[in-house]
Amino acid sequence: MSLAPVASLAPTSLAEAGKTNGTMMGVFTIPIMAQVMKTPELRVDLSAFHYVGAVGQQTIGHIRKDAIPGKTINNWKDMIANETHPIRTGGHGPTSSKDLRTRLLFQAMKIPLKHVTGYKSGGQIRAAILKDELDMTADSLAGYYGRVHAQLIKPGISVPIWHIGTPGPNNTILHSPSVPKDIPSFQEVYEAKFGKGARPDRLIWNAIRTIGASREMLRILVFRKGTDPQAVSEMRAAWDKTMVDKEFLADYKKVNGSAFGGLTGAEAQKYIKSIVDVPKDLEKFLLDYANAARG
Amino acid sequence: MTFMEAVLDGLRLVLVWPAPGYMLLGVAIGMFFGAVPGLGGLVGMAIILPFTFGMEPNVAFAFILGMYAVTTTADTLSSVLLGIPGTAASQATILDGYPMAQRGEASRALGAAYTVSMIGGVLGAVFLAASIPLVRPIILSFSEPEFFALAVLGLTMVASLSGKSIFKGTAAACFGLMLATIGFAEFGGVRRFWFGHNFLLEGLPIVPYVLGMFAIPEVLELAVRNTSISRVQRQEVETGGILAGMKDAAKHWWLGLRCTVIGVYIGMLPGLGGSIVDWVAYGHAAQSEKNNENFGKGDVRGVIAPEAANNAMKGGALLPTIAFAIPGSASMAILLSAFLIQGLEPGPQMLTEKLNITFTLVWTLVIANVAGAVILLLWGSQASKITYLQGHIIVPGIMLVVFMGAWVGNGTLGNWIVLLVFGFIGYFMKLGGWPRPPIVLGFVLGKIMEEALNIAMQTHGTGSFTRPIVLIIMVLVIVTIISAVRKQRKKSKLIPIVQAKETGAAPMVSEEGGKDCPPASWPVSVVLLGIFVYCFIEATAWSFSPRIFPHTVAIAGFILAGGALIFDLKGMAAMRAGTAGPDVVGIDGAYFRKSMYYLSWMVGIFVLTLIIGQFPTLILFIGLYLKFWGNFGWKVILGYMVGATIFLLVMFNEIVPVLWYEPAHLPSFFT
Repeated sequence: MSLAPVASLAPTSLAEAGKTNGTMMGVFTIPIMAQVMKTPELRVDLSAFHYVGAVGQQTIGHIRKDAIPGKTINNWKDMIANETHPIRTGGHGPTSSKDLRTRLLFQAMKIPLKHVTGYKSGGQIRAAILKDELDMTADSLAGYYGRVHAQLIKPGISVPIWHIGTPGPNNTILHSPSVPKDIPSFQEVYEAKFGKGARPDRLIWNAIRTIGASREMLRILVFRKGTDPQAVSEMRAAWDKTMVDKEFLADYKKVNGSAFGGLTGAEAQKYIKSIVDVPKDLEKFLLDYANAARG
Repeated sequence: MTFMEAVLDGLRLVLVWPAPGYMLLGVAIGMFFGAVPGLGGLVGMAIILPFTFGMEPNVAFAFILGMYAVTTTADTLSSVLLGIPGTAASQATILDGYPMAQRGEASRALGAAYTVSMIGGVLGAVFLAASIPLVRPIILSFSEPEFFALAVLGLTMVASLSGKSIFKGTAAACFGLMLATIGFAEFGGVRRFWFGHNFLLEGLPIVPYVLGMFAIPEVLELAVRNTSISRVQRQEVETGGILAGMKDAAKHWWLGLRCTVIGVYIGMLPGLGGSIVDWVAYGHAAQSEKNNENFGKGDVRGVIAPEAANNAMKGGALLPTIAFAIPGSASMAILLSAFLIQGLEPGPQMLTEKLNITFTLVWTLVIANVAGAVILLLWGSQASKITYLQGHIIVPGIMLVVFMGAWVGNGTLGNWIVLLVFGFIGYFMKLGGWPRPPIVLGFVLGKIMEEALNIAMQTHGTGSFTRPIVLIIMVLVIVTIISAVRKQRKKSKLIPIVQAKETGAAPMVSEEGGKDCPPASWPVSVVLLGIFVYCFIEATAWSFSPRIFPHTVAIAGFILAGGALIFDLKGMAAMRAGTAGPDVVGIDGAYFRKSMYYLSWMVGIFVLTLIIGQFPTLILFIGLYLKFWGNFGWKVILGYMVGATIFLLVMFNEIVPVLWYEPAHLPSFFT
């Protein structure tokens, strides 16, 4: 039993069939959870790639304003006290990253949910929210500004409630600099309900932190192991220049709606190690958690 | 801005230079990507999208939509001329288009197809414009329960695609439904029928699958018989070519109009779209038209219906994308990216304050459809000459296109395995008189059905089946089934009369869904029975939601394949007793042996690729085929090989670069 194997295909294919002469670079969404949970289809250690760079994308949760009967949710504070009415959430499958994340966050908040899973795309989930079949989902920053905002936020159907945030020191989750201040991090929302410094169950919190960390390098640019070192260093240098290129940054903001946030190759190489090395008990917890949702 | 002002401003934006120039460039690129099997609009859009950075919105959309609009016009070329669907949206076109080409009526088929493609595309855009005020209620009233019901309605078309044997047709459809369950079932978190191969986790790739089912048996026929695609000489054809096809389109305007509406509204429903629209339109035509006994044998109405619908579908598909930012297909997801690149927010404002931009898209579709169709109509007669060429001269070229078309999707040897496996299956089904279209229909509908049912049960429970639109569709399902059964009975009463009038010897091999060939059919029945038993047992270990669909299909399939086997055994007995009718034929031994020899050459392509690599194998195949099958001289052989090398290098190394398979033990030629 394992997590979303399809996401493991691209990295496995690159690692096994990619060329090493520097002409083949992989650009894909990093399947962190597949490695953490030892998905057999992922036949490569993600930290074994040569990282050219990474792009971060936080996830914004949003909810229909009428999700709780008799109450209008005008901002996130209006929904956190709800512990009776189940919020209808949508996902792609019991072992998908989106499902895992949604269930963990709601469980931590002690908000009941009725989770519907099996949607093929985020677009279908948003369509279901429009039809009032679902209340809540989460989208990447690019999706939020590119699609959700015009479709659900601007017409007054939904409001943003949180983003996960980035793991900080002392067991904290910080507000991501790429997300507007009025969309709180999960820790801010949690502490607003349960008090400053409060934390949920250790494993749930650590799982959320791990997911938050993975969002900081959601899309990765990598060469397979054994690639010509000169090609790697040239591409790293090119990426480093791109990350500060004003024209690129302006185009990125235009297309994604938010400022660019990313890692250099050297940073990504270090960061990936810190994410994938998770304790055994957390690995087991995540596996059990995913398996419990299979219908 | 009023509605009329938006209409005019949209037109102005399309006509402001350089938008028309880019639109024509897009049309030219789109015709190329549509005509070459395996490429299609999605690949084309992905390639040209980066070039739109820095363009004005009207120019960028003229370029992208100009290309997107005509791929389903140009895809008719290979569907009609070669029996190979150019894109997923022209699969149904081959059912009647290719038999027309075999009858020497390729030009007529192309003339009809391009005319209705143009009209369908234009009307689709007009319907798109007219539907703008209705889009919200339409899209919001269709949910998973309605999608499930629509898929069930689609499945009822199997009856009209089954030819003579409803058992074979429905068993084949069950096989298609079962094939749709291959891969990782996201909703249940279960890997199904993947045999430990990562390649299958994403499901069976549709392009190699369809190419295998349809193209390989036809190419094999050309190679083994060395006939031209057209079975009649050019001078014997008296149908008037392109012009006759245009007249056909005008004569059957009502059918074209109905299928246009079908196309628009199927396109409008996210998640349905391209791969089923042609089948739905074809099924509608086969069920609703009078004198429909020639459907599947070269009836021009079987070309008109899918071709009108697949172009009209594109207008409909734009609506959920621009109005709700819900892309109904991968192509539309790319279009959505184009919006974001242009700094435009797709959403309700595209139907209000940005309505002029929306009309830019509508006008682009209109103009591109007309331009594409006119160019193709002018060129159609020339293209159709390919159908009069000797089999051995065109087989290597077609094989190149088929093998590369199967490769281009994700560039793995798994694609070629799928191509070959389904090539074998397609050949034996054709030989045994098994209809192949229901397998493809089951495959494309199976995914929709299972996913929609799964979500419908979670969101609406059993209430899914009492929703008003679902009830209406279910009434249509029942009416369709009753009508199909009545037609089937009427047909079986007519057959003896028709047979009594027929003169001349029966063909040596069976025709799809036409002649019965029990000696070739019963092994297919037995294999299907085995597959259904295996699938049932394999699925037993899975949890409820991923298990219920394959279990249901396996049970139904087992019963239907069993029914087909009983008929096969009765046919065998009748052949032995000498009481079989003229529509029951045996296997032509010489033809069968030569077919097996040719199939072994195809396996040889695969094996040799593993040893010396993909590129040299394909070139070598051409040389060897022309030498040993065609007995051509070295001038022809070398000329062909050089031409093929240039084609492969330009097409698949420069325009659409693929990852060539090169064995690890040899140095790499391609970077």
